[in-house]
Amino acid sequence: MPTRVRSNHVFINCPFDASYRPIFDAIIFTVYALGFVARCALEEDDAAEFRFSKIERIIEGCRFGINDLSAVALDKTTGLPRFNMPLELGLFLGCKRFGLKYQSKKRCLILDSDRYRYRNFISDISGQDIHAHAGDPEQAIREVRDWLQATSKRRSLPGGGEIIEQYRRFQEDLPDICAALALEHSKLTFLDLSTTIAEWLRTSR
Amino acid sequence: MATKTVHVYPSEGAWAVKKGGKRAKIFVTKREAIEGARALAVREEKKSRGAQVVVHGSSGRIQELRMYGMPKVQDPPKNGRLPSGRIAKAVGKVVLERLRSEPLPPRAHSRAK
Repeated sequence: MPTRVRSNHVFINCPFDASYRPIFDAIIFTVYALGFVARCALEEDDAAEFRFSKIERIIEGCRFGINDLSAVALDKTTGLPRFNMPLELGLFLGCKRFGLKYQSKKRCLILDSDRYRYRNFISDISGQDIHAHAGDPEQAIREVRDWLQATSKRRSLPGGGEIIEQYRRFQEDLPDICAALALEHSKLTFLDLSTTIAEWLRTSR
Repeated sequence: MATKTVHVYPSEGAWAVKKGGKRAKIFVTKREAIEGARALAVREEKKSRGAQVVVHGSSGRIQELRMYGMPKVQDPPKNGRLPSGRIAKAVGKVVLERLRSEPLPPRAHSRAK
């Protein structure tokens, strides 16, 4: 049975390692600050379901997708590049192209550290919406905000500067919130972080 | 940049109304405080800035939330490791402690017209 496409759900396709965490957190914050819901493969803990099936189901249910290819680089240990992000981007584009009729409304943003780096490893995506964050979380906030506002055509959304200011204040409060939860920031799961962001925005934006 | 939230919270036997960057106003009753906060939020909305009024309980958790020209913050999917109520309590506690750490004016605004 097909999953219903939610017009305010945004699939986040990005690396999950610690070095990427500042940009990941900034993107999640921006999505909630704009009134959308962030979805990603980390939200499910059901070990019985294959990871790829989870990703398929989440992509199917999201109208928007944010795909960060900045971590596609040679791994120092294996000497091989990481292909998960391009694979999930391909799945998203395939769902839009070959899925049921209502999947054709899907829209996706492609982020990278440099705007034209993709030409060296995935040139077939030229013509897609490709933006650069230069490894800067605040630039990622501006890119995600501007793209989501333009694509969704929603009005009365906060500007990039306003979300950055809110995000800075959230980061100031986060250590105290984690202390009240008796948890380290790094131990917050994706869903717990999302709930914390949503609750903070409701009380403090 | 000023914050968009107008807080209403219990303080020293009265009710305080505070917007970020501004001094708090003190009201005797909760109803007066909420009316004062809403009037402030409506003024902000007319300036096309948007605002929200948050009424906090004694633990800091949200009792009432009303938005004026701002997008609604959506609920994330359920199934988090921590109960959402525990997170709401922790966030409310931190926000209320920050509000209470800022000095209050003398209680001269009670029953202000």
